[in-house]
Amino acid sequence: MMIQALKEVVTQEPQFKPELAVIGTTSGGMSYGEHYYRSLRQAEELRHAPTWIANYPAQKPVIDAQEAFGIFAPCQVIANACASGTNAIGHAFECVRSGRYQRVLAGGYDALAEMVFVGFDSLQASTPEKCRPFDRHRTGMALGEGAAILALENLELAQERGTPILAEIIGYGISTDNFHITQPNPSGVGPRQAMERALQSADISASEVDYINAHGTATVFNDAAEGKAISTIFDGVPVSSTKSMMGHSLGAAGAVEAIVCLLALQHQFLPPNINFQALDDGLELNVVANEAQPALLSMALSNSFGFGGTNASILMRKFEA
Amino acid sequence: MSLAIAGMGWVTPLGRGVESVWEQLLHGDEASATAISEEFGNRPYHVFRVPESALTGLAHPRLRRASLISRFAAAAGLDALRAAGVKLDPQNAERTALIFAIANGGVIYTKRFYRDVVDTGAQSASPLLFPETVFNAPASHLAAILGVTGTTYTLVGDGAVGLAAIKMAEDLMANEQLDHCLVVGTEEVDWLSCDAYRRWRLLRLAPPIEPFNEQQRGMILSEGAGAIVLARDGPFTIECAHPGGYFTKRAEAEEILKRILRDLSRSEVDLVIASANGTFVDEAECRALKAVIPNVLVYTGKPALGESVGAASLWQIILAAQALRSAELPPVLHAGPAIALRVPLSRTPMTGARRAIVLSCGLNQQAAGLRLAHTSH
Repeated sequence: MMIQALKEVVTQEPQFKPELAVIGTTSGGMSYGEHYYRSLRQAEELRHAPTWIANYPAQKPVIDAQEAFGIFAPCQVIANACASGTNAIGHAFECVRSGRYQRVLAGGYDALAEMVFVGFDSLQASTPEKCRPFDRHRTGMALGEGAAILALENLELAQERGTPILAEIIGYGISTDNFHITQPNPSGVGPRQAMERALQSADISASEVDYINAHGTATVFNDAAEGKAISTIFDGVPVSSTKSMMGHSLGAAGAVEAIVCLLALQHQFLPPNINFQALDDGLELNVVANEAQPALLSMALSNSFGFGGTNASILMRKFEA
Repeated sequence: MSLAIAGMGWVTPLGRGVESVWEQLLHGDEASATAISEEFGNRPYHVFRVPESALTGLAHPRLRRASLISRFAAAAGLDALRAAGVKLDPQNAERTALIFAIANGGVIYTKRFYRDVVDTGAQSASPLLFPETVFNAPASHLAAILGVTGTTYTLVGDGAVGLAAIKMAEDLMANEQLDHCLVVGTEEVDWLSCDAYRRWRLLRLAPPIEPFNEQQRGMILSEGAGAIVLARDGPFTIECAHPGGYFTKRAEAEEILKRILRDLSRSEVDLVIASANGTFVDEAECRALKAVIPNVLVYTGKPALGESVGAASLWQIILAAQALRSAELPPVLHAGPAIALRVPLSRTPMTGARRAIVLSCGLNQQAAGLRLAHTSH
């Protein structure tokens, strides 16, 4: 998946030579670790064990993908649970904005693994039913998988190169909520701080945001806390969780959803929150229900939150040449 | 921008505390090896474990059910902050970032969690264990103990990940809204990790680790944590955190190490703290050092402390700082006389030494380095 995602970047931007790769993941090569352990435990064939072990380290897919396209940037692999992808883009953005780097690859990946699937099930966080973020009848998340990579470049340099600019990243907020290792503080303080810090970082007001791509896992706790935080800061901004359509790809989710925001800005539409029937009684949100809607969008915010109380938000702006 | 080290914390198989561990190293002490076995494993492995006494007095509700890796990290992190004189409160907690460096992560709880699934099915998966299997669980616990509400990152990689974390800290500290960055490298050891490295022909069954030996007989795994408080002022300056890079084949490690050494030795250096651990790393480092700075003193602490992977390069930085501060080096244990490098075979004074390079070549394709200077010299 990483190779495929990087291939798209390289196809669009063959001249892009990154100085750093910041990639998020939650479980790295866990499925390889599972093969190895299960074979050991059940006294099965271990002939492929060296290969499984070689593919277990979280940096391996990042290195393999770079190697496939002759890219040799040092890698920073962020494992901030489900906030990892947004953290990776946010940190990469700050690296470029500070002037310390000119070009950084940023994104995330995660592949489904039995352990992760069973783990979320043990927490009663996943559902066999449809994923219904912010809905009164939501019953949990649907896991997904994938990879997404963005090529970030200093704006002036990108303009000098004459390269097509897809969007601008203009703000990043990060916060840590110390309430519980798997549950957000019900007050929504962690998500609220991440969003407020992203707005401060971009030096814009909440009223300038046109669309929010929510973390929106459809778990009872996340959607309640995130919904409360959004309605505390924003007044009627359209909100959707595209996890309703693609599932929760964990460490990849923030990067996947950043691209959803980018496309929404490029093509001027609001991505839908499908499987939606009725808003949770405790929430005051303007949910983009079930169908995409045309809209004039200039600014989009994307949220990702994770185990350990990690919260991250990035702000993207439509690029006006 | 240069960064300063304001405080350090160290939890190792030789115990806890920077000065105490350092004194033992100067005396040529080596950690005791413990044999660990597994019910389905066909052989025991020897590892260097952290003694239970090292975690005495560490009490916090978040640590009651936490794994060893989190406890090591909490102990080292709290010690480093104490040494730096940094007391976090709700006013300044936001101005402190926390970065964790991890390789294998919470392998003990991960194995327990998955064992239940394999043995008895998904219905027996533990919701208490699952959160502890996530890479950022140790960082989450320490953030909660300290009350850090701002920036927290967990980086995953190999033995060089600690230096990647320092590089990330350098990038973060470019933002003046941060006063401190606490970088913690932590790892726990388990039979399963030993078996994995053995299948990769990197581990030997029992000590010693013989550094820079042509036979490359393998490493012994260890566990613990190293923590460093980075600030804008302090007795040690990180003059250059080299981002390093990756190698695709072990035989290519030498080239990237040469590049790192060339970049870092543009200022005169007195010492290199190497990552030699009895594997292919030793040959790569030896060749690179001979090619770039052949006369420099080279020390590796791994024969005494073991290979702690995610914690390893933080330990190397602590070793470099202690060597510069005390102007002497411990003996490199189990080093043969035929080594083609200047390796101290006994306690060696280094009067006037000011700069050290920390060189890290990981076992899984990553390499990095940094240059440290003692500012009060």
